[in-house]
Amino acid sequence: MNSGLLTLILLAASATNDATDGIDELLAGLVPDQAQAELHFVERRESSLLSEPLEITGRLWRDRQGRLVRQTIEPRRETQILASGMVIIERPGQSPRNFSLRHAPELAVLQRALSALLGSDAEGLGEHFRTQLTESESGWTLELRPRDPALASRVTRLTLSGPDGDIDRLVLELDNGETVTTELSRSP
Amino acid sequence: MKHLWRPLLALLILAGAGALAASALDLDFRIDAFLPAPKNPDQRLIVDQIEGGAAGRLILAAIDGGEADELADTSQLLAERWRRLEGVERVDNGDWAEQDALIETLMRHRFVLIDDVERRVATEAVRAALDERLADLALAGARAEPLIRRDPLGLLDELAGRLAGTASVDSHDGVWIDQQGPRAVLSVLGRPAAFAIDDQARLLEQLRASFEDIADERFGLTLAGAPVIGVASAEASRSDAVRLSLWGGLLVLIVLAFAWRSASAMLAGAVPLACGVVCGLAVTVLAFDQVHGLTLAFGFTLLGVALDYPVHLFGHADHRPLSTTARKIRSPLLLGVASTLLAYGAIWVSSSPGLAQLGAFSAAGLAGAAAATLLLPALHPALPRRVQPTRIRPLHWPAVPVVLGLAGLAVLVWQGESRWSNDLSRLSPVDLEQLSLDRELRTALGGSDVRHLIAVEDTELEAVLEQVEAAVAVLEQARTQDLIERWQAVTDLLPSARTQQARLAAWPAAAPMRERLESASERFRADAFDDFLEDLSRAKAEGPISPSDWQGSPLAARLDALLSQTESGWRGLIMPAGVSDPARLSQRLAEAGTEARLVDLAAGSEAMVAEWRRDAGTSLGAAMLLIMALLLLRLRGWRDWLAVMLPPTAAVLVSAAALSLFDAGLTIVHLIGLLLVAGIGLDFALFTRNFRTDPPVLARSRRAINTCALSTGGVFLVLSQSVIGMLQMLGLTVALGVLLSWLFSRMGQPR
Repeated sequence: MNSGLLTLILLAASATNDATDGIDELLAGLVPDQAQAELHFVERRESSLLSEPLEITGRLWRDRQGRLVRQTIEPRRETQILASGMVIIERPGQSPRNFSLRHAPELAVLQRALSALLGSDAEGLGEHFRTQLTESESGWTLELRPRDPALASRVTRLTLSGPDGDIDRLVLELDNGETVTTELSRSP
Repeated sequence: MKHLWRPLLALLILAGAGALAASALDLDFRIDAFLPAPKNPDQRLIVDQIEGGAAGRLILAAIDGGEADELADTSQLLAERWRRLEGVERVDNGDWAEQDALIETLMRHRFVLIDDVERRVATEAVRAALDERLADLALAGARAEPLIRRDPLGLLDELAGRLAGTASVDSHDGVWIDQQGPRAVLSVLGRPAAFAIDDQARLLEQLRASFEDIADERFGLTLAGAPVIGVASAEASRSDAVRLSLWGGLLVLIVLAFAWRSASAMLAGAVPLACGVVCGLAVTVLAFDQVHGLTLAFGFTLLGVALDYPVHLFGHADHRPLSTTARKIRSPLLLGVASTLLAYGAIWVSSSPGLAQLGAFSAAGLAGAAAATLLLPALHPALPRRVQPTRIRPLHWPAVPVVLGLAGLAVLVWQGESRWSNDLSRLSPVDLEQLSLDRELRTALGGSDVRHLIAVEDTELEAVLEQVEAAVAVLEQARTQDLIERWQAVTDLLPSARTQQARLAAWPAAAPMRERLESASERFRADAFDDFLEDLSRAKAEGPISPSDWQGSPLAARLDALLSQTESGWRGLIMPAGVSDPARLSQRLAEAGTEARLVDLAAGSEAMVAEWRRDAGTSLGAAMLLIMALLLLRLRGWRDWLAVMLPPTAAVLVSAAALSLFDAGLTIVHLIGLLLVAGIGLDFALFTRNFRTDPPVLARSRRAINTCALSTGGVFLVLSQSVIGMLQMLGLTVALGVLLSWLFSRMGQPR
């Protein structure tokens, strides 16, 4: 869930940059400078309840208070706001609900990765995750594995990838075998 | 030595008898024993609410001292620890997600609890619901699947929201957090029965210990609820009784040691008191099944007056044998005792069980003590060794008590009704702070006004539930006119059988329901909702639910609070919140022809206390008239009668005026205290008047009165230091009254 949040920030941030060399440089290249930018995402989820995989579309942005907002349009309109350890979920016609990130390990993983990336905080990233950066001619891939045993028991791996200086794909692998793939783009 | 063994033997025999009587005692510590006995259903309801309703095992807890996040964490940790305690049946902290049993219960009952079934199973609504489930999948993925399989229409979510939403406490991260504070709120249902005070106390101790284990020092834990009040009441009664009787006893010992200076006389002086205690206990045990802890606390203090009798006896002793002295003081002593017995007899017939016990205990105790005093010469005690006074300078200022008494009367008349205090909670033996905390937490969790309740009573449960549903329909209407904001009704958890059957009938059978689900959305697989359809078939087969279906679930306590069995049948409640115009709401309920009635707990309890006090006042007034008649008969002549009546009457009037002015109005406890003052004042006046023509005897009499006033006044002054409001009031009243009686009997004699 909320797998788009990180990507949005990263994408919004991405400026054209030369080849990255190491995580420090990668982060430096991805740091956002367009806080109001909006990103579109398409996320795919398999479910044993559905005859075909669920396709979730929506957009992501940072609001004026610096909170991350993820709004889904399909299959249903819903807004998720990530702020200080909590996620607030708003559905039309219902009062907002808030939950601690403890109840949402995926989101907690994303939030930790995110705050480290946002702050160009390679050290913080290393503190929360075991990292592995691979670079090729077509771009880069960053693998993150949570160090916190509680999170690691739920989230196996978060993989970010993209062409040089940009990010266009995020894969979250959960312990139950579920894989959430999010594609990102600047236009719908 | 020969003067010691007889009194000692007598005391030993009495101690044995006392132990025997005490072993037959069945003590209880309910807080309502001193409340007026309810006379109608509304009054029963009020008393039930003060006792904590049917939820006598429910403990409310609040954690404060941190930010909402930390409090939520601590609440979760603590709830988990508490659930593992043996004495705990259930812990609720607002987070139902982890409580599989509760979810299972709601799942089972959802088909009969959710209203508007036709609308929900219409194709459009089913389609909208399935869209929502897709959003759930988009949000939580595989973790949401089991729930969606079982509940595609989102009934559980709505039901939980509706049931939890009635609490006025906010939910933070799924846990109850009262934002004022902030504090985390939890409720604990203990296993020990409401009357098992020792078990309750142990449980509270365990709850506190677990908190100490997990929480760091910044956090504070507050417990409230009927068990806490019960334990506090019992502990306060016990520790206060021990502490106060130690101090009181010490004081009396010092005074008597100074007055008599004889070990034998002091031992003998204890015999009437011991005899009084034994007689009081025996009569109370025989006349009542259970004796309230506070009755004893009160009773022992009232019996302190019995010590006056041997003081009078020894005080009047001269060189002649003690039996001659006993004969000499018999007349005024018996007259005083007879008057006091009349007054306690009047309390004995009171409608409050605690007061009746108190009257019985005191009447029997005083009679026993007086009889023992007159028989005391048979024990051959040594006589006090102090040099006897030969004369005192008489004071003849009867105008002082007359003027002060009239002034007191004037103050009481001028105050009118405000001289009385009708606050029912003042008559509870429990610490007032504890009571208000209890009410505060209960309000936070219950989400209702403390002041109003809507009640329905009937002999049949079904009739009660149907009436509550009718009342809820009226409330729905009233809400559109802003007469009421929200409410909790018993029918939220237990609709009438008629309604349940109608709802079950409105649910399609499994096969047509499957078709509806399939036609509403092609995105779900055909077998996706098999679990739901299975639940539906079972609910239809099982039929309506009954109160027992909630047993053992976290919502059982709520049902217990809203539905109770009365002597004549059942009582269902609606707890309203945000009632803007009680009179109009009450009128609406009546106009709609429902039998539901809006009860104003505050006004009702005040009226009840006032009525009760009027009753008690009437019987005390009658007792007073009888006492006056008795005195007039015995005293031969108006002059003597007036001289005897003046000091106690003035003392009572002045004390009453002072207390109504400075102790927040008079309560029934003050009246009991004043009764005791009248008795003591009457004794003083009788002795003073009786021996006025014989200066040496009068001087001895006066010294005996000084001793009495010092010991009795002192004991009650000690009592006024009690933490229990009722004992405090009693102590203050009697201490002041004794002081005034002593003064007035000294100066109030006409020439």
